Amino acid sequence: MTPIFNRRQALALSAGAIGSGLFGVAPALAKNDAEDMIGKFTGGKTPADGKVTLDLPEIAENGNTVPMTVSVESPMTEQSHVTDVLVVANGNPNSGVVHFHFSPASGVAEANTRIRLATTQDVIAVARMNDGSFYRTSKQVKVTIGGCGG
Amino acid sequence: MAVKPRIKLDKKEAKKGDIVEVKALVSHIMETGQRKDASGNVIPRKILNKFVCTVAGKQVFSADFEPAISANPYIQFKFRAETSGPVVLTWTDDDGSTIVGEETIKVS
Repeated sequence: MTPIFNRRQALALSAGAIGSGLFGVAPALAKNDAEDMIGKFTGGKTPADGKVTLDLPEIAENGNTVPMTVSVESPMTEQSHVTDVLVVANGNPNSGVVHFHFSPASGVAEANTRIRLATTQDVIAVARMNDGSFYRTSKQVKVTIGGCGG
Repeated sequence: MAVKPRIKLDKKEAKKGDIVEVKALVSHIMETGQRKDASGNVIPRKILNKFVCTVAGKQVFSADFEPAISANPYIQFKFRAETSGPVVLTWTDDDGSTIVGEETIKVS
């Protein structure tokens, strides 16, 4: 009987199978429900890129207090303004970070606060405009010491 | 003990339409509910979960905080000066208590 594969081919094949298996799993490794939260916020719409600026340090030595500024380009008039900005972090135990509510009386859609980051991860900001459109941006922050009391 | 927030407006007197910047800092532990004490019991969550700013009775800015906000939360935002009046900042705790701070803006 002739074997269908020789040993070398069999090894290569199984290695390939393991490899592809790993890559198949990788996208499912999202650490928390950050994307679900964004989905709920946008009602399933895909946010466009741009308009939102997220100002965070590249490297945060102390994850307990990371200064974060989020601003959105908008004239902030009754006709055209930003209503909310949702900020989530995809590597924290809870994905939610903060939810800002603006109004035309805000004048400028900009807010600054200090946040906790457990580990190196992406911080994502999604803005909702009064016309129902969404804009999104994200930024990776490298964290040296985590900020969740671990 | 009542906590007194520290609030700073970048100008106390503004012309109508000017943008006023508000900076506020309040002392609060912002316990996440993730940490454990020495005997391994989870320390229950206790954070300020809501922040609202009104100017002359009109809400200009608010925020919902999650446990990912640092202890002693700092917040900075802006508003457009329209009418003179009190600038009232209110933080709401998980237990329902509130911390209130007030400044005044004069608009000419």
